[in-house]
Amino acid sequence: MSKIVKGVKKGLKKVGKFVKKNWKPILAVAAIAFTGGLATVGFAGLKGAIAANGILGGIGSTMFAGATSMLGTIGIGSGAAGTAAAAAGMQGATLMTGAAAQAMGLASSGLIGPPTAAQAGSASVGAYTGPGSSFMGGGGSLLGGSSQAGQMVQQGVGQMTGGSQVTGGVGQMTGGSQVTGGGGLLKSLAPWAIQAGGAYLANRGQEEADRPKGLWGVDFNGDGFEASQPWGAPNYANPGIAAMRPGGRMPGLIDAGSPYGG
Amino acid sequence: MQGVLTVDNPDMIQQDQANQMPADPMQAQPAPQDQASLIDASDEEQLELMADAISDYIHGDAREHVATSMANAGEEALVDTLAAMSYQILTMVSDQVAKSAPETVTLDVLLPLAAVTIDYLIEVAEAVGVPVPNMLDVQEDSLLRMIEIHMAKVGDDPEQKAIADEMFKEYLEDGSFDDAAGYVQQRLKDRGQDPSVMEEGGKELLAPKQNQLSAGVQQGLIDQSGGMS
Repeated sequence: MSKIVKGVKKGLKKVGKFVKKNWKPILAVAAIAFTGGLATVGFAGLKGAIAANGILGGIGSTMFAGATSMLGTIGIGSGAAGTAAAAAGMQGATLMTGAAAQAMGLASSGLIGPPTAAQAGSASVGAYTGPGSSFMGGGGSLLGGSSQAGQMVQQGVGQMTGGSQVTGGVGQMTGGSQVTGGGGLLKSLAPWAIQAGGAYLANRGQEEADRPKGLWGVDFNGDGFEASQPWGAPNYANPGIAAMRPGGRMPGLIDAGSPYGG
Repeated sequence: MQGVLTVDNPDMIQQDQANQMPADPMQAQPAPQDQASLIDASDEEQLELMADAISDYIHGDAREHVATSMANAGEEALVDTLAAMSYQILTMVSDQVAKSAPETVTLDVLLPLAAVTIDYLIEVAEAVGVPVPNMLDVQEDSLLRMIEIHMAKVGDDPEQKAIADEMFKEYLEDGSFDDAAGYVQQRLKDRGQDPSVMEEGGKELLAPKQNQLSAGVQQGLIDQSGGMS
């Protein structure tokens, strides 16, 4: 049974003639829910989700959890600029918010770094506009330990800024041309994150755009934008911040100060 | 006939299969020489051969057993029984095929086989008078319940998790996930359920509201942010 999971993708393409038409989407759902659930929430999670929301609802929850965990998309569209991008029809941008958030969260492990220009592409507008989602994007692990959580995020952001050569301003980053260094996991994350941000999020883009945005949906200033980040993370959503300095902080952060000594 | 399958017996897959099913479908059909041809056949031909064997089994040797199980299950336990029975049959088929063609035992083969197996079993259920008011709902729920059973079986296997992780990334990359998520949302609407349960349930899975530690950290950070603004 060790190979029992493999190969469903090609199979789903060839079963069209073999099974009744209505089965094909169900098979896709089953395969994706299975892989997403197994990789993310496990059997206990799936079982609990089904108990709470019924079979179909539980499967949907598992799929969502899998994608969220994989892409770091909790807080999808929570960044103000990410929301704007979504509203402007830049599908995928908000999802990249999550991907970048995951990168930021995991950067403390040294496994990943920011995307290269080629991977970031135009979708990087979302990637660098929603740091507010980075906590959640990093997954439950970041929230798993009280004081450590903030520390991890701070380290993650610090490593990201220190280890990268972000030489452009927000506009340049949007173009994806000035973000260098790093790579790692995000190299593989970026292309599929961009694609995956399409149809699934398209129908949610406008809905998200209509909501007040901020850290975990909290609009601290009441202006629809995120507040300054307490851990000293750069607020990419603020177009007034021109550039992130290699190895250092952004001007706005110095002004804002940081509870961690920034 | 032994081992009547009911919803009260969901762990039947753990039981001695010999007590549950009268014969192995792959021992009954196809014959050994057919096994060889099965390996050489194209993918779709392989599926058809195995599906034919399962059909012959369900409508032949196992019909009485299946009919009794379905009748006992009734409408209330139909989905659980279909899922458990299908999984048992698929397990038997995959184990049998794995002996001679292990590369065949993959999810791409087993999922479509599961689909047709469920259809065959529903045919028997209807034949014995079990009402199937909404075929699509029953098909969906049975297969998804079967996935739950399968996950319970392989969920702790790190190798399977690693494979699943890679496959899931591919689904996210190639658009399969989008299609499937859209389908689930639409079907939830069709069933009169709120599609937002996907998102809310997913968030709950990853960051349970009951986790007070997480909530405390989150609130603390929010408080700090508030002080900064």
